[in-house]
Amino acid sequence: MAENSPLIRLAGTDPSDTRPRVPFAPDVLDFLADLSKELRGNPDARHMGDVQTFAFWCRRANLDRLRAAHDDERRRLGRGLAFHVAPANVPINFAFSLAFGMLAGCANIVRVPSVPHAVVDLVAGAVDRVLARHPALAESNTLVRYDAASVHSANFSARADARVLWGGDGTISALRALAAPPRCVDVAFADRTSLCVMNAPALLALDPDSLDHLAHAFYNDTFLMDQNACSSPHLVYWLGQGSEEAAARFWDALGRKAAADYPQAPVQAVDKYTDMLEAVLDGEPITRARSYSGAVSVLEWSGLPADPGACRGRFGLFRQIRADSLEPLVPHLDGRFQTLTAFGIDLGELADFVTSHRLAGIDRVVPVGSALDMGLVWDGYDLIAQLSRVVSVAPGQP
Amino acid sequence: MAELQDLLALAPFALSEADKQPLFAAALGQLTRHHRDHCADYARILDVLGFDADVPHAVEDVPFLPARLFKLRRLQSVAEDQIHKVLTSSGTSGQAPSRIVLDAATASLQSKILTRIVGDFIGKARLPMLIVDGPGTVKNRNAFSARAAGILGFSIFGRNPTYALNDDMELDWDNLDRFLAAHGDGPVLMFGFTFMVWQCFVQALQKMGRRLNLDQAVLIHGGGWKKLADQAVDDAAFKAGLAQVGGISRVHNYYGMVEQTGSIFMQCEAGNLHCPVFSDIVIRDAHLTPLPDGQRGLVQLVSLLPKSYPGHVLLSEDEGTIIGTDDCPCGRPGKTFTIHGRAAMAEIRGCSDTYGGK
Repeated sequence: MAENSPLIRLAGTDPSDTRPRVPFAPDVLDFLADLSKELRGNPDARHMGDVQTFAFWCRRANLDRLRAAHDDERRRLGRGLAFHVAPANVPINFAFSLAFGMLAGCANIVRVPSVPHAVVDLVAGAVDRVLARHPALAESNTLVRYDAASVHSANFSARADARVLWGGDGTISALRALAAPPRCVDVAFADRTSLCVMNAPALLALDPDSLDHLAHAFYNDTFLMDQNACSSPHLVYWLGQGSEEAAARFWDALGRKAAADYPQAPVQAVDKYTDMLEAVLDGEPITRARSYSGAVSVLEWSGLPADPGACRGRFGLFRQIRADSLEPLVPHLDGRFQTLTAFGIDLGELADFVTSHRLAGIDRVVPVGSALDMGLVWDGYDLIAQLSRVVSVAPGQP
Repeated sequence: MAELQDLLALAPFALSEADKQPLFAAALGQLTRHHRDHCADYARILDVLGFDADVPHAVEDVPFLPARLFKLRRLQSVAEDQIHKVLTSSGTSGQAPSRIVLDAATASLQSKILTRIVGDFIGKARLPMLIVDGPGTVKNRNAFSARAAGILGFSIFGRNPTYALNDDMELDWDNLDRFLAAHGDGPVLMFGFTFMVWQCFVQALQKMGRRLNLDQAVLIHGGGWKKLADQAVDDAAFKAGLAQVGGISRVHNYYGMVEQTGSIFMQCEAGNLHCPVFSDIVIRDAHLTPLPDGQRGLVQLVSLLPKSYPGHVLLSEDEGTIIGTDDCPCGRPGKTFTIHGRAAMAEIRGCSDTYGGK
């Protein structure tokens, strides 16, 4: 480890005050609402969709709604000092991670990715300015940037009461190996995969505008993050009559959308095409590979392969299967599966499917278009509950 | 395989584009059916893509394989006992090597066609040959490199091969003096990799302030411009440097892929890369749709040579532009093009951090 590698402080100060707050503390809500305004008023952020999403999420009205939704009528306090390692390739997530820690009542050290990124720089600058207007929070929250190989992660881990770790499985393992105090809890957002289920008759009933709207929603779930987000689907599971025609219509609409809007680099096209041929040569039960407008590639499965969870696409490569029920999926939905997006099927019924089959996988059931929506419940964790502790009193004594 | 045999028997620039294309498409169809019938993996790919090789297709409609696939998979259209050698050649350090399965017929065809193409540019005489590399490059068979393959492949065009560099890649003056004393006043053949020629020959001589008498030399070089592009050295600057240090005025760049050894593309006297009758080029956009002449895109190369492995239609990761057809000032018919180098990497989004790397 490089002992002397520099630490760049982008906002706040090293937390000198790590006394816990109650979740949704008024000064935290003030700060986040202030940050929301600062970001929404920044003309440079106007074209950054992910910044707008974050700013919209932490606006006052939504924070009030979140507070009401998370009130479990227990006395809670934050765990203390939370150390966050944010993911390199979803730049805005460092801001969500900071907000989760603050809302739970923690002091926070957030390591932003070491590779400079316009979104990170813009939001970190806003956090710095807004913290200056909230001195009490500036003493307990900071954003830092440093080389991953440096000693700082070990030092921060040694002080942490909670760690929020984003990254690939290798990253998470390396970070968890760093020593932390005995009572430190880890929230690890590791590699996950996701799938989508579509109701064919419902799709066939869509008028052209609604079909385009659905394709747009699916596009947002996948292409916005190059299909690399944990919650982006890789498999589309068609149910019901007319699935062949429904699938053709859907992919055609998605192909038009992606061809028009996805800035596909030539290298990505080669990657996608190579992945597709490798899947064929790997012996997946593929009956047909189709390309839609050169932007969407779809591999049609005749049945489920041995390990559907391992079959992932990039840049718009999807598997699809047409079936009568979800039952054949049951043995395959292990802990790698995170999000089930759905169209034309009752979300509650799908959630019941997860619980009644006692599935190890699937933490989220959301409509197509909401796969990337971050929230206080993520990856199966209730983050307020994870990052706070309960102060219990004897039964019957409120 | 009438068209295929006919084309392979021709001189490299015997046909105009209009005369070539119908023959070429038919020959490509024959070769595609051959691979379908002899390589189960290839047949499966055609099947899944819904491609019927039994009906005629235009060249750009025949499915292409990414050249990269040969680094990931061993694909062959020949029985195990017919394998002459497996060429494992890694172009770039750190990458998995391509595995190209050759039978005797394909290996022999590769050198026959290479001879014919190069001969069209430098003539048939075997000239004294000066190799701008160290003798160790071809001796180290464990690390059989694209450089070694190039040196060995082009050595058939010369005689009395002499290495201009030692194994520390410094000019070997004993060798150079001896070579120049024996052959310096006559025509000689020089061969080397583009960046080696620039860095270890042109720049080394420039630093020493030395000038060699190689007025009658013809230089063939290849291997890519990436390292020179980083130093902002283009074809013109490269040629100017060679003229300055050695009076070398006949310079031919060549382009090709190790996955399609033999069917190379030579740069003519007018500076254009030429497509011979044995091969074709298609330029594709970021959606892999063919582009018209004059537009820049991904280079797809089609070669009639690969028979023992299904590498006849390959998509590279280089970008190029087709310059013209049947209109090169040098007089050779067919397509001419230029190569811009490798397509740029894209910034990829997604959840996975690169904690280990950064």
